[in-house]
Amino acid sequence: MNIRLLSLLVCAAFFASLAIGPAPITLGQIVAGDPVARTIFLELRLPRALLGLIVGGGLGLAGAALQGWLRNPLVEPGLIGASSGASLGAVLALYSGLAITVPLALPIAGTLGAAAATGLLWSLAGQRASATTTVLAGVAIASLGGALTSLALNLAPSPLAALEIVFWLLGSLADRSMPQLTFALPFAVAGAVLLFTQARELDALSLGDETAASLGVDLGRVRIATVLGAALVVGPAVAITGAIGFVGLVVPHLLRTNDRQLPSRLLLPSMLGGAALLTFADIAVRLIPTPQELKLGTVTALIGAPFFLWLLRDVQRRLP
Amino acid sequence: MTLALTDATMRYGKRTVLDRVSFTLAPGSFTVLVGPNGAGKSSLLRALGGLAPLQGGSASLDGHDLSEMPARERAKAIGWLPQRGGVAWPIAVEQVVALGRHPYSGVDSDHAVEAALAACDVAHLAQRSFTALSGGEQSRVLLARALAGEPRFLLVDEPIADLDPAHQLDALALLRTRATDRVGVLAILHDLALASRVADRVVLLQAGRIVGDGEARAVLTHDALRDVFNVAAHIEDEPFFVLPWERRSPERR
Repeated sequence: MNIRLLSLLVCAAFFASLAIGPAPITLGQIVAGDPVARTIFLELRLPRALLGLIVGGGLGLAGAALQGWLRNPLVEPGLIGASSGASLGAVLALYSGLAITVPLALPIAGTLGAAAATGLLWSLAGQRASATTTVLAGVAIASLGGALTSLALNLAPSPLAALEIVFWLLGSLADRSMPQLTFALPFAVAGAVLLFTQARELDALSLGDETAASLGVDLGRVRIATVLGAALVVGPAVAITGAIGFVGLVVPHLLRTNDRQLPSRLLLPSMLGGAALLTFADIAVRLIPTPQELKLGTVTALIGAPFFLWLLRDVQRRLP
Repeated sequence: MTLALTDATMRYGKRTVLDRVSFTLAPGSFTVLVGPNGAGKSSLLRALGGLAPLQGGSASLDGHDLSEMPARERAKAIGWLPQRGGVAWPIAVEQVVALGRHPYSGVDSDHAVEAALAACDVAHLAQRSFTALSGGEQSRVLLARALAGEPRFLLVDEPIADLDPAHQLDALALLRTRATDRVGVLAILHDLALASRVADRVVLLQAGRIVGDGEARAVLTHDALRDVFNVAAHIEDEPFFVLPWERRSPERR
């Protein structure tokens, strides 16, 4: 699938996402200035479609960059701990009730959580840590974040609050507002730019850390740029949507064809692919007739987990 | 124009792997570094390439301390090929070799890549996936990767270990011809017979110290082979070559 086709797919997903929903609104109604149709379009459909692109694209891009950095196709953005930090921050905002009383409390708390997790990663892994140490620290932080999230759930003030937290944790793009979107956007753009600047360095890392260093790659700078870039892209997004698993793992792997084995060649396709996949998945949850709308994170995990198993088998088969 | 170590000391934890080593590599020489396992050969190569911090002394290029040089300038001047290099993804051979041009971003590199592919006899594999190649083919591709950067000093760690005899001779001849007025080559070899045949200069390393440095016939003597490698060897004079023949030093068993 080439870039042009992927871009077309992203456009198709975006427009389909604008067009499809429980309320039957038409383009004519919006143009004619029907207030209900306009409200639905501008405050529900548009943020949802845009958020799908940003979150999906960010997860795909961050996954591809991290896999290139660690030279491992089984890596996903959750490994650096930023998403569980974001989850924890958002859950605390829900738990304390701030999410209801203060506008944007959810994304702000989530972003602070992601920042705290990334800061902790830095202090734990140290300035000169290897990629392995960094990831091990990331996994530890992710587990800690998960445990604290469970604790918040455990001590939730009311069953209703607990339910709210659980539903948020399942991950969804529904009913997110435009201000939330514009909050996450600058972070995502900055993170994406940072990741794209590392493309050539990630290619050189294919030869191993030390050989890359001999070719003039500053390993420390790549590490900072990659981890920070991924945290910027993923953290604030997760703070808004809740945890959405497997997109960052599956998309780079799906698109890693023979001519895209070099990490730099996978970044843009993976970003587009992630945006399209998540938006289509989000359309699917709207179309599948269930008593309650399915949560997006549930659907991506349902598709992603079997795929992950298949991936493991595939990797095993290629080993001698 | 020289690449030099001055009183270089390197430690891994408490173990000293290089002990106040001074060494100079000049263009035009094909120098072979020999020594038993654990003598510090690879560490010496890393130190000379500016890839590992020294705990004492310095590594310098034309008198400039390597640790203070911009990484890209250092990378343009010094090529380094590790002992067991690999490539993480099934990248096409041509792309692997092109990675050797990393320090030259924005410069047209097609010619250098093609020349390196041809020099290492892997041009016919250009479109093949690296991971699908045999071990010997992979070594030749990685050597081509190191040559593609056209460095002034080439540091290669056991470049012929995985090669068949014909390609071993090819690779050594290639390194030999690279060692011209403009380029200095330092190679670690375990095969003393080949080392003694091809080297302009042999450097003998033992326990982190240089214990011999000079023409092959001056360095690879019966005494040195017994004391450093614990072997008895056949030594032929014309043409000069060394063939390790028998394990010595029963006191070690």
